[in-house]
Amino acid sequence: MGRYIVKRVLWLIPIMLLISFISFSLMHLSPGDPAVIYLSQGGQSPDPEAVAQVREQLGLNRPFFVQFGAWLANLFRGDLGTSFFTKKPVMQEIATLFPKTLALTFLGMALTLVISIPLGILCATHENKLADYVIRFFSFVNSALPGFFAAMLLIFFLGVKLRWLPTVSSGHASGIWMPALTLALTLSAGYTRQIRTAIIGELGEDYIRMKRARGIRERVILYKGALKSAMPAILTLAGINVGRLLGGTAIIEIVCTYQGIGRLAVNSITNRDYPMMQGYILMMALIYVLVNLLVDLLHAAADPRVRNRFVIESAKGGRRHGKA
Amino acid sequence: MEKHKRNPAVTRALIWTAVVLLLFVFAVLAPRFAPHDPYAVNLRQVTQPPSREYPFGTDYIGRCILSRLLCGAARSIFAAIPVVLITMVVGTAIGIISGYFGGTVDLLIMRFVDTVQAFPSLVFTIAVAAMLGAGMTNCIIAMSVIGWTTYARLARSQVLSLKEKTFVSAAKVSGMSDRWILFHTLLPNSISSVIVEASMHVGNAILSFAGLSFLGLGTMPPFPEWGNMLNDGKDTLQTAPWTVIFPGVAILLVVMIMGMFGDSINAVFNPRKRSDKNQ
Repeated sequence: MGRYIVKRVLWLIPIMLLISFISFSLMHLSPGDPAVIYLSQGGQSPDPEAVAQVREQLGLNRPFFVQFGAWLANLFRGDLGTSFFTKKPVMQEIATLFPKTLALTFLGMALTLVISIPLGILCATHENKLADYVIRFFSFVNSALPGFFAAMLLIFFLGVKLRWLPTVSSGHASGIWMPALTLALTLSAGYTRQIRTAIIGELGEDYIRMKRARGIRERVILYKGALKSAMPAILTLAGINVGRLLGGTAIIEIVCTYQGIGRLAVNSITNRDYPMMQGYILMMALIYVLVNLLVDLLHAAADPRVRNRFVIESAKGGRRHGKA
Repeated sequence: MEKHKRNPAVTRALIWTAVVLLLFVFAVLAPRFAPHDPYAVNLRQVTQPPSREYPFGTDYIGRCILSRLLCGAARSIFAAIPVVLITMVVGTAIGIISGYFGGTVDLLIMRFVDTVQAFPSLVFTIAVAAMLGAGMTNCIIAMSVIGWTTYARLARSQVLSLKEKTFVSAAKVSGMSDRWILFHTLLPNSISSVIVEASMHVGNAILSFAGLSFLGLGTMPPFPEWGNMLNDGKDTLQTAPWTVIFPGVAILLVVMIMGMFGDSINAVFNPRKRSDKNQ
C-alpha cells in the first residue's frame, strides 16, 4: 500500500507540471499583446509608452520559459497573479467564489440523488412494466436536454409563471435553488438509469435469492439488501462527478446569474482576463486530479487487487464525452 | 447479410441510420421552406407571438423564428460531424499505438491523456475557442482538442485485450511488421467499439456546439444557429417565451434522434449490454 501511494503521488508531479504548463501557454498562444489588453480594459487604446511600461512590469519581455518559471515560483507561494479586470489577486477572487460553486454542486448532486434514487428503484422493481417505460422515456428525453435550455425552462416556469423562486439568482438567499434544480434536472436522467441498472444487478444476485428463500419480505430485501449493497457504488459515482461538475456548472451559472466561479471563468474569457483564466483552469484541473487520486487511493485501500494495477479504469468508468 | 436480416437490432439500427440521413437531407434543404427572409429585421413586429404569418413568432428585432430555425439547421447539426471524425481518427490512432507498443510509450501517452482529461472540459473548450477567436472552425478545433481522449482510452483498452489473442501473436511470430499488425488485426477488430462511441458522441457534440454558440463563440451574429438563437431569446424569455422554446426544442429533438441512433448502433455491437442500458 505504501509503495502504491508513493508511486501515485510521485506521478502527480509531472502531471501537475504539465497542467500548469498548458494553463500558462494559453495566454501566450492567444493573439494580442497582454499588456495592451491589460491597459485597454477601460475601452480606449493605450499609448505605447504605457504599454512598454506594463510589459516591463508584467515581465512580458523575458523569454517564455523564464516567464513560466517565475509564474511557477509564484504559484508555489499561492500567488496566481493579478486579475487584469478587477486588479485584485486572482487567488482571492477564486477563494471568494469557489465556495459558492461548491455549494451549488453539492446541493445539485443531493437533489439529483433525491430524485433519481426513488425513480431508479421504481424502475428496477417494475422492470419492463409501464412505470419503467414511462420513467425511462422521460430520462431519455432529459438526457438530450441542453443545460442552458433546462435553466431557461425552469426560470420561466418556477420564476416567471409560478413565482416560487427569483429569476435572477445573485443577491437572493434562495438564489441557489434555481441553478441547483437545473443541475439536478440535467443529471437525474443518467443517475436514474445507473441506479436502475445497479439495483436490477443486485436483485439478480444469489444472496437476494437466499433471502427470498428464507421468506424475508420483498420490501426488506429491496432496502436492506439490494439498495444497501448498491449504495457505495452510487455514492462513489456521485463523488467523482462532484469533481467533474465543479468545472461544468459555468453555463448554468450564467443563465441563472448565479455568482459562482464558472461564471467568473467565462467572464474572464470574454474580458481576456488571462491571469484569471489561467488561475481558474489550473485550480480546477488540480482539484480534479486530487479528487481522482483520493478516489483511487480509497479504492486501493478497500481492494488490494487494485494496488497492483496502476490505473483503475473500471472503477472510474472512463470519461464519457461531457455535455454542455 | 442473410443472417443480419433476421436480427431486429440491425433492422432498428438501419431505420435510425435512415432517420439520421433524412435529418441531414432536411437540414440541407430546410432553407427552401423558410417562409421569410431569416435576416429581415422588422422593428414593427418585435417579439410577436406565433401567428399565421409567423408560425413560431418573431424575435427581439422582429425576425421570423421559423425561418431562422430552418436556415440554422445545417450549421447547428453539421458542426458536430467534423468534431466526431477528427477526434475519432486521432484518438483511435493514438490509443492503438499506446496499447500496442506498451511500456514507456504507453505510460507517457496515458499520463498525457489523464492530464488533458483533468481540465474542466467545458471551460477549457471555451478558453481555446476564445483564444482562437469566435467562429465555427475554431469551435470545431477547440472541441477536438479535448474530445480525442475518450477514443484513445477506448482504443487502447481494446488493443490491450486483443493483444492476448492467438491471431495477433500468430501474426507476430510469423514475422509480420508492426504496421501490418496494426492495420490488419488491431484496427479492424477494435473499430466496432470506436464506431459505437462515435455514434453516441454526435449528440453530445451537437449539444456542446450549441453551448459554445450560446456563449457567443460559435456562430457569428446575423447568421442563424440554434444555440445562438437561444442566446438572443434569453432576455425576452419572460415576455416572449417562444423565442427560447422553439430553438430549445429543436436542439432537444435532434439530440434525441442522435441518442436513439447511437443506442441502436450500440445494440448491434454490444447485444449483451443491451438489456441494461438501452431504451
